[in-house]
Amino acid sequence: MRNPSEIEKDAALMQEVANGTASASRLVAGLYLDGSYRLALRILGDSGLAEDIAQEAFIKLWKQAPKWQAKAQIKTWLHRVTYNLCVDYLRKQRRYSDDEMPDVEDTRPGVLELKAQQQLGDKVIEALQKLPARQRIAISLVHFEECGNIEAAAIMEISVDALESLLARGRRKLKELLLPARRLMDGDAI
Amino acid sequence: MKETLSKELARFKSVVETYGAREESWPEADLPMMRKLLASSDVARSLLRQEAKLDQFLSSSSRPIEASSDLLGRVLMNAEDINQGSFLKSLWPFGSIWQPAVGMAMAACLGILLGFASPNILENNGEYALNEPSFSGATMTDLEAEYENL
Repeated sequence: MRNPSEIEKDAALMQEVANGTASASRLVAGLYLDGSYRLALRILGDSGLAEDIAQEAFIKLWKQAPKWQAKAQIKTWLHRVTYNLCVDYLRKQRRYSDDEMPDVEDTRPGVLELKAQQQLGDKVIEALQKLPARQRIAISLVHFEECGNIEAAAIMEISVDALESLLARGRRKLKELLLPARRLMDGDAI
Repeated sequence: MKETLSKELARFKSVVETYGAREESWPEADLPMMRKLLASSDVARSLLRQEAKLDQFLSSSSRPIEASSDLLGRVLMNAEDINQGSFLKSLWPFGSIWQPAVGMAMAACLGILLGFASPNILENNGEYALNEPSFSGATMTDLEAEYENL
């Protein structure tokens, strides 16, 4: 999770951003905007909302630049901010709970955004939207954004054990949800 | 021995069902045990294959997701607005300021040198000769006559 040389490099880059060097801002956006947008899209399932969240996360990053300290990598910091913004949004929509136990599908109208999903044509995003929010976030971070377990647990402010529980339940649910699509694709069963 | 093996297999199953089949995703602490079981146990290899199928499906059916160029443009505009840099930077945003500064200083020095080196037209006597008739009350005919004599 903590890679000292990467953290130092990121700190130098953020100093350039704070100095108003356009090439540094372009480099940071080029490296990390896709990741922030992808995470928000997988959590929220709506491309417009995901764009707004990613833009807001970057506004926070630009504002943080003059005060940036070599304590974390930009990628981890952005994932954390993106995660917090998404959770805040879901809480406002009453689609997020901190409770571990209720394993209820997130199937309220508007979650699926069928039209948007048809445009995206992404079965996986569709299936992810049917998972409870915390399982969806855990899988997005570990599987799709390739965060380590300690890093993902820190982003979600939970223990590694709790993260593992979310991941295992999420993957089990995904297997069920994706079974028809998988059968269609390769004529195979799990 | 048997008990240890079954415990390890249980942990192996738990790890692959949690993190998937990619070795890079597994917790570092479990790596030696996972590798050992993969080399020695058919059950472990079978468990891995099952999870690899899901991983493969997740990866292959998921299109690459990229932020739009419009979003990138907005984010870069925000960066410009929020971190404008120093006043000098806003005057010369193309790199280090010393190059244009030295250029301007050289041009100023050259101008001053040229100013000192060029003749002072106010001290040229010919000018007084030209101005003289206008103050002496002579007519145009007088002037023409005077120029003919020159």
